[in-house]
Order: sequence, then C-alpha cells, then structure tokens
Amino acid sequence: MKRIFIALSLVATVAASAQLDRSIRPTAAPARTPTIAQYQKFQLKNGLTVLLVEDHKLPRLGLTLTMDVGEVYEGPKAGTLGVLGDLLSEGTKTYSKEALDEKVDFIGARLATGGSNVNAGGLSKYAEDLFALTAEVAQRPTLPQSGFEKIKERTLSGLKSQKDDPGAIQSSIFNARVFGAKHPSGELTTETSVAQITLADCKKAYQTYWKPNVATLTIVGDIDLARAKALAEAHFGGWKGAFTKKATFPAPADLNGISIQIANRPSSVQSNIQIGNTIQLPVGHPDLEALRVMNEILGAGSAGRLFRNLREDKAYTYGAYSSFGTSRYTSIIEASAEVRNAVTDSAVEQFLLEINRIRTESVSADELRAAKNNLAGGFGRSLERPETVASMAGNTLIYNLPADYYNGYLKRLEAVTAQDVQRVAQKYWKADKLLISIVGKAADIAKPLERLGYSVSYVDFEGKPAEAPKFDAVPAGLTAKAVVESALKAMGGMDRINALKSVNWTQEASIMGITIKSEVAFAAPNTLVQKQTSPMGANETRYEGDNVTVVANGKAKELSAEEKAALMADRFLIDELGLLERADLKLQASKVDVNGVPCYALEIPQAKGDPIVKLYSIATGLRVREARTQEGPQGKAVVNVDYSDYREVGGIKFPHESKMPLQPGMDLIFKTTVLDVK
Amino acid sequence: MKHSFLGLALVLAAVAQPLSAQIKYESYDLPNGLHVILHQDNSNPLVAVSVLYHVGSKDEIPTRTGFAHFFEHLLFEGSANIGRGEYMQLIQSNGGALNANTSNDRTFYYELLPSNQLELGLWMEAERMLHAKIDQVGVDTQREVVKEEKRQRVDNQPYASFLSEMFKRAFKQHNYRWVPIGSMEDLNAAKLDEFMAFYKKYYIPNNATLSIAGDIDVAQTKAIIQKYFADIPKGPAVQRPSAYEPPLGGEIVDTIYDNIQIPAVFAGYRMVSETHPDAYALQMLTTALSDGPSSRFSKRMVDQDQSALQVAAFPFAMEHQGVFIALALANGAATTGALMTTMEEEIAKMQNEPLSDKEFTKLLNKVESEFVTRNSNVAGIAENLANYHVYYGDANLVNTEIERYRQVTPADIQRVAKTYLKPENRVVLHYLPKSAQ
Repeated sequence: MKRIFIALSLVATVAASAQLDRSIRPTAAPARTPTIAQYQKFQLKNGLTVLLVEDHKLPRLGLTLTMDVGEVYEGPKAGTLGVLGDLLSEGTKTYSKEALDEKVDFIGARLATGGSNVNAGGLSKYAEDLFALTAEVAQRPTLPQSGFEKIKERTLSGLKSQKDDPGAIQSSIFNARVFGAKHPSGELTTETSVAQITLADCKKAYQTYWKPNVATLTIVGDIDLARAKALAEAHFGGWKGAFTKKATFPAPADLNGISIQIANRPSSVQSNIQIGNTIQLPVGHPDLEALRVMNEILGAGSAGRLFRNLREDKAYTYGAYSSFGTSRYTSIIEASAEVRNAVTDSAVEQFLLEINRIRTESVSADELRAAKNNLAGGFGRSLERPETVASMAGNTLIYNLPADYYNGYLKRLEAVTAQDVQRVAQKYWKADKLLISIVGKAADIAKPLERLGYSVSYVDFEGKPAEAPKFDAVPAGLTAKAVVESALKAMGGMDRINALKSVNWTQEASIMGITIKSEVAFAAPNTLVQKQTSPMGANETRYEGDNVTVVANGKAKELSAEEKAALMADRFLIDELGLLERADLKLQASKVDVNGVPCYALEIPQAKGDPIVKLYSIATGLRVREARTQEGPQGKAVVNVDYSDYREVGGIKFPHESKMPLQPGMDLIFKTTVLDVK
Repeated sequence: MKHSFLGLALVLAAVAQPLSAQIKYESYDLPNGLHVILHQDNSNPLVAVSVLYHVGSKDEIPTRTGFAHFFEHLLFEGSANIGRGEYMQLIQSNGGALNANTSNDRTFYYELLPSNQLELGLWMEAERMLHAKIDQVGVDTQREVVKEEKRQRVDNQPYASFLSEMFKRAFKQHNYRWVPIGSMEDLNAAKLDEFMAFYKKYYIPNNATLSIAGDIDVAQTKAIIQKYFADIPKGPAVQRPSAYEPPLGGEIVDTIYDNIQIPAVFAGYRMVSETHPDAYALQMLTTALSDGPSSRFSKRMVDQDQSALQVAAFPFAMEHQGVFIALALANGAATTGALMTTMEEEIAKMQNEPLSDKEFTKLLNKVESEFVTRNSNVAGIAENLANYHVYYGDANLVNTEIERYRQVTPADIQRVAKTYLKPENRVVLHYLPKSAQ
C-alpha cells in the first residue's frame, strides 16, 4: 500500500515536471525601490565638517579624515605628499612609532595615513581609541628624521617595483601625456624627484595643508549622533589653523590629432592598451547620467560592446572595458585592455571602431533599456555598503549638490534617451584627439601599429620621449652563458652529453675530384682524436686529459707552450662545453641574420687576433655558423663555417652538413658519412 | 604574577564581548542530492544566488591542468534556452551582477540580483546545471580568453608565477602540484568531448550546493527551487582524488629568474588542510608574524632592519593539504638569503619562546575584528555558508568558528611553529631579476 503511494507521488512529480517549460523565462516580481540611508552633518567651531552614517548591522566603525587641498603641483619634488603620508604614521607626540603600531594592532584595528587623509577602522567597542588615534596622527605627528630616511628609501624601492608592473607604467605614461608633465595630474613621482625631497619639504607640506577648516571627518558604522559629536569635539575640537590658498590650474590642452605612444617593454607577452582623452565633468552635471548610460553600453562591464567584441567574439583579451572620471578639475575618459602581442593593432582598430560607432549610430532601444536596468541595479547593490552613503554625503558637500540629488538619480537615469547617449558620446569622446597609449614589446607590435597610419612615438616608463628602439637588439638581461646553455640544451642536454661513452664521426667533402675526409673519435672521459686526410697528406691532433700531441704526415710536431695552450681550448667534442668554463665571452648587442635565420652572436676572445664569433639560432638554440678572421694575402678575411642538417644520433643532435666557402661560388661542403654514438 | 593576572583579564574581556548578530539560515537536501542553504535578510532589496560545485583543479588529470577553470568559462556560453553570449546580458540587463571563480577545490558561480529577480537567477542556475551549451565555438573562443587571462594575471605580472613554482615543488603526488590556471600546453590540448564528460561527471545536483542570501521569502524561495531543480537528475557519486602526499623529506631551494627588479624570497612550509584543528593555530601564527605594523616580520624587517619593502605570511589552506607561505621583498641592497635568515630567526623565536599574554590578546582581537567583517554583505554570507557546508560539513561555523580560534592557546601556537615551520618541510624560492642570471 505504502509502495503504491510512493509510486503515485513519483508519477505526480514527473507529471508536474513534465509541465515545466524551461524555455519560458521567469518574469520579475514587483520591485522594491532601494532606500538611501540618511546621513547627518555637523561642523566644529574650527571649521572641521563631520559627516555621519549610522549603520548598526555590524559592531564596527570606520573613520576617514580628508583634507580638501585642491590640486597640488609639486614640480621637481613630486612625491612630497606621498612621503608625508607615510611619515604621519612614524610616531606622534604621545606615541612612538612602535607604541602607535602596538596600539592599533592590539585592538585589531587598521590605520592608514596618506598625504591628505587618514583612514581608520575597527570594532565599534574601540570607538574612543579609533578617534584618538586618528586625531593623534593628524594633529600631533612628530615627523622624525629617522623615519623620513627610511620612508624615502622604501619609496625608491617601491618606484623600482612599479617599473615591473605594466599597469602602473600605463597609468603613469597615459596621464603624463594627456595632462602634461606641468599639470598636477600629469606630473610623476620619480626616483629623481624623490631623491630631492627633504624632511623640511614634508614639514612644510604638513603645516600648509593639514588644517581643520579644509578637513572632513566621515564616520560610518555602529555609533549614534550624540556619541559621534562628543568624540569629534573631544578629539578634534582643539585643532587650530586654516589653509586658504588653493592653487588652480587651467585644463590641459587637447592632443593635436590621434597619436600612438609606445613604452617599449621587451619582456611583455601582452600589450597594455589605453585609449582616451581628458574631460571636464563634475558630479551634478546634467550630462552625467547620459554619459553613464553611454559608458555602460560601450564598455563598463561584461555586457558592454567592448567586452563582447574583443573578448567574447574575437578572444583577443581577458577583458576590455571603458570608464570615465568625475571631478571638480579635469578627469579622463578611457578604454583599455590587455591583449596578446600579435593582435595589438587589431585590438586598437576594434577600440576605435566601437568608440566611433557609439558616436555615430543611435543605440538600440534594447541596449538602452538594458543599460539603464544595469545601472539601476548597480546603484541598488552599492547601497548595501554604508560607505556609499558616506561618499554621497561627501559629494553633496564638495559639489554643492541639492540635498535630494541622489534620491533623484533613478528618475534622471530613466529619462535618458538614445539621442542623449549619442550627444554625450560625441561631446566627451574626442575621437579626433585621442591618445592611444601602449605598454608592450615594440619588436612585436610597432610595425603593425605603424600601419594604422597614426603618428607613433616612443616614451620611457616615466612618459618622457624616448628613442625608437632597435628591434634587432637582443633581449635585456640575456647573457652569453645563457646562449651557450641553451645551445647545449638544444643539442640534447647536459645529462645526455655527459653520458656519452664514445663517438666516431666521419665527414667527407669532395671538390674538383679531390676528397677531403675529417674524422673525429671521442672516448670518455677525455680522449679526442681529430684526423684530417686528403691527397695532400694527413694530420692528427690527439687530446688525452691535459696533454695534446700533433702528428703531421706521420711526423710528431714540436709544440711550444703557447701553441699547446691554444690547441687545448679545442679539446672538446662539443665546443660549447669549453665555452661554459669561460667568463670572457661577449654577447653582441644586436641580433645577426644568418641566411634568413635570426641569431645571437657570441664573441670568443683569442690570445692572438680577432675573436671567433659563433652564431646561434634564436629559434632552435643551435649553432648555425662559426666565423673566424684570418690574415690572408689581401689582409683580414672572415671565414664562415655554416652548420646545418642537424639530426639526432644517440640522443644528441649533430650537424650532418658543414659548409665553408673557398672562393666565390665554390663551397667546400662536408657531409657526414659515418656517425656512431655510444 | 600581577602581570599575568592582568593578561588573563584581558583575554577574558575579549572572550566575554558579544559578537555580531547570528546569521540564521535553513538548509535541506533535495531528493536528487542538491544541498540548499537559505539566509533571509530583508534590509536591502538584494539577493545573492550562488552555486558551488565541488570540483576544482585537484580533480583534473595531470595532462589537462587548467581544465576546471577553463570549464567555468564555458558555462557562461549559454544553455538549451539561453543563446550564446546571452547569459551575462540577461543578468545584467535585469540589474544584476554575476561572476565565478575556480580554486584548487571548487568552482563557484554567483549572481547578485535585485530581489524581485530571484526567480531569474534560479532559472539560469538550473539551466547551467541541467543543459549547458558546450560546443566547439565556445571551446575555441574561451580557450583563447583563458590564455589571455593567464598572460594577464600570471605571465605578464611580476612574481605571479610563485604559486605554481611553489606547488610543483611542494607536492610530488597530490594534484595540488599544479594550480587552477594550468599550463598553455594543456589548455591547447583540451577537447570538446572531454568537456562533455567533465560536465556529466561533476555538474550534477549531488555535487552542488545552492546557497541564497538576502531579501527573500523562505517558503516562496523553496517553491521556486523545487520548480527548477527538483527534476534535474542525480548523477553517479563523484570519485575524489587521493588526499595523500608524503612528507616533503628535505628542504628544496631554487632560484627563479623573473621580469622583476626587486628580489624576493618565498618560503612555503607544508602544513595541514584547512579543516585540521591545527589550521586555527597556524592562522594565528601568521597573524603574529605579519598582520599589522607591530607584527614580528613587519617590525623587524620593514621597520628596524629596513631590509624588506614588504613582508607577508599566510596559510594557503586547502581541502586536503596546505602550504604556509612566508615572503619578503627586498629593500635597498638586502639579499634574499639575508631576508630568509631573518625570517628564520623570527620563526625560531616563535618556536622557542611562548607568546606574552598581551601579544596573544592582540591576536585574538585581530581575529575577532576580521571575523566581524567577513559577513558584511549578502554575497559574502552566501559564499561563506556554502564553503563551511562543503568543507567542514557545518554551515553554522559562519557563527561559531570564532570559538575554534578562542580555544587556541599560546602553547598551541608554539607547538605548530615547531611542528610545521621546519627547514626540511619547506620549499624556498629566490626570485631574482632576469638581469642577474
């Protein structure tokens, strides 16, 4: 009975599921409009503004103190505010650096100082400590000499490490170009500028900018207004002084036409591409929502045209995106991706195509709808974080926005039309004045980029003009030893070479009816006999351990110590084994072409005369030529021996053909006739 | 005497403090084996829908490294009822966000949606589980995308190869010897029919956990889950790879030449899995060594000696095994050898001298502070619940795991430092600039 019941219910389940038509997409339930949490604002007598966002969900508290110092141009001492930022954590009148660190860590908090801000966070039960620590570093830093020296060195090391990071390089060179080096947003902190910063500079910057009248304290978390007021007053009420002289800078000029700049990074396996221009767009500007919709459709995320085109369709990249900044001053609009070297030019073309398309064609109704929904969703998601409300409060203050500005956001967003999108795309994407900035391997990408027809210039990692690189330069960091090692590896590797017991190798060349025979016999560990036979006679060189003897036409030859030493250099079956032991090899700076094969060239200095040059194929690692300079009747002449037809015998690759020019049009070609390897 | 009494008081004070509100949840299994976890929080009109498949790079075969992650990419290609390229569009054009990630142990997919779109998220996850579209176009496209991801995240980034270099030396037998991104060679070799087989083997309800957190009505949510997931057929039980790995059996030291200017040293000590009781003491040990400016490595190397630009220690704990990683980037002219010696000296202190009460209390405070932050949004809660269920068999650890930290004693920390941080148990990698080669 029970079994039947189960069976019946199974039938019922199957029947029920059979009715489910999965092709029918669910429709949305009625939407709940997200609500924006309230914030509160008050001011201390010294001018310090306090913004409070209460959020009691978790027992934690965050404090941010920000100095509104405007745009700061530091010139030859760029980086001063950055160094000051670190220096603020080096101790205060009340706490030594060590005591400060201890205090922060003990309560499980975090405290970070910047050139114009302090960030502190931790559990709300330590609210008093968090206020006290923030106030200490802001108002009573000791700015010690010892800490200054330490930070300076660390900053220099940090700058060095940034040069390893293509993203950091891109950000530097892009800003340097579109803002110009004389603009606060374009100037770069460099090793040179940091070296010039003194402690006095940092102290002066501190005394100038760190004043309560330009300070905003933002409090987010598990605290109520009364306590926030009391703590702010207790810890910041006694802070004195004012900063009034904010500098202003004119907006940077647009670029003159589209241009490409390349920072050559030979080790790059991807090109870091960034394309864009400067814009003027403060929060509160009526174009803002339309520009957000435009950017959403173009490339804000994985639904954007850039992502779908460059990643999902063409698979050039892991991701392609666009973005823009809002600022009281100047900001940028840009599109970027990291793409493999080979498709760099194609990716640039697709970027330009998409930027052009959104400027010239109306977006579809579907795209418009989807973009608005996506933005509205993002707005709702962002409200989960109380910090979002704090940043809205901060913007309301900085940009002098109406109190209900953010409450009207969704409505303004909804009102954006396709015409608006196209209009702002045209206004903000300055399609004829774009900078196309690329960090990548010039040897791979420069020629294809040149074909795009825009002006191409080179910059160093600090954005300063640089010489166009020579593409035949060998990679930075490559050593002679590495070339030798890779040749040995290409031949079969040291393990196999070391395991050789014996080799008998005969090569023969015929020319004008004469046969020349070259025989090499090797026996482990170190016996090598080289014999050359021709109608003119025979000679034999025999190496045994440290000894070398030469027999010419049956007669032992007397060898001077010097001659012996010269011969001993050739005692190896494989020349490269001898090269391994030498520290005087020189790798030529440029690649060399041998019969169409790009090669690295190694110079092997000789006791007398010019060095011997051995050339190794970059592709295979194998030796393809040896060039010796010989004194002849008409002066010096270079004799090349070319090696080819490498074939593996006994696990080792041997060249089965060696070619030597005798005179123009006549080569002596040795072919392997016997090769016995054990 | 007085001092230690004070310390005890501090410890007690820390223990007595109440933590944040409990995360309440309901969980159950569907007959097909799908495990469901539901957490209701109506404070924002948002819902996180996530599915954790218990398959990661350790389930791969040695000639197909990177396969699980590659497969993750394929599952955005579409399904029987969702066209190619539409998967991401659908979520985003309805106001949601989505993503996925693959670790050594699991693959995790999630959508964060306006709560009125809950059903859309569930329908799409069911599409993915029941009949994802896996075809040659998708394989060919995503193969190149994944290779770009590898270039961007690993090959073109300084030091980024350290994990793969570390793991291939730290593990000889276990599948942790490779990392989720895999090798270019294997990515190139992966074939369509292999993906089909992988899908059948691992993407089955009895290998999945559906975890939902946010603005939901529990009864209604259960009904929608029933509608879309109940008739997805159960698959055969999943065979897990062996967890065994013999002891390292001696120190391994190697040099890696990278596209870097600043030398660095990475030391990896073999340790236990994340679920082993010692994992908590090891976590606190890393906190003592490198969390915060007063931590031992930071204070000594960054501040006093100024030999390091940056130091870090973290336990890379996985389901079967773990590696305790300590690293330092050189400042100025410091050599990687000298950095390693200093780290060893600091480790020796942890082994030979017990922690003071004050330092131990600091560690507890730090752990507590971190624990509170861990559940600050619905997406994080959904993921934590799923992880705790899958790895520990107890989703409630989302509320109670802090107790496991509180049971750790200073003696435990000293003991794990002695047990695991031994030279014969470690791999040391010296990262040097290519120009130094």
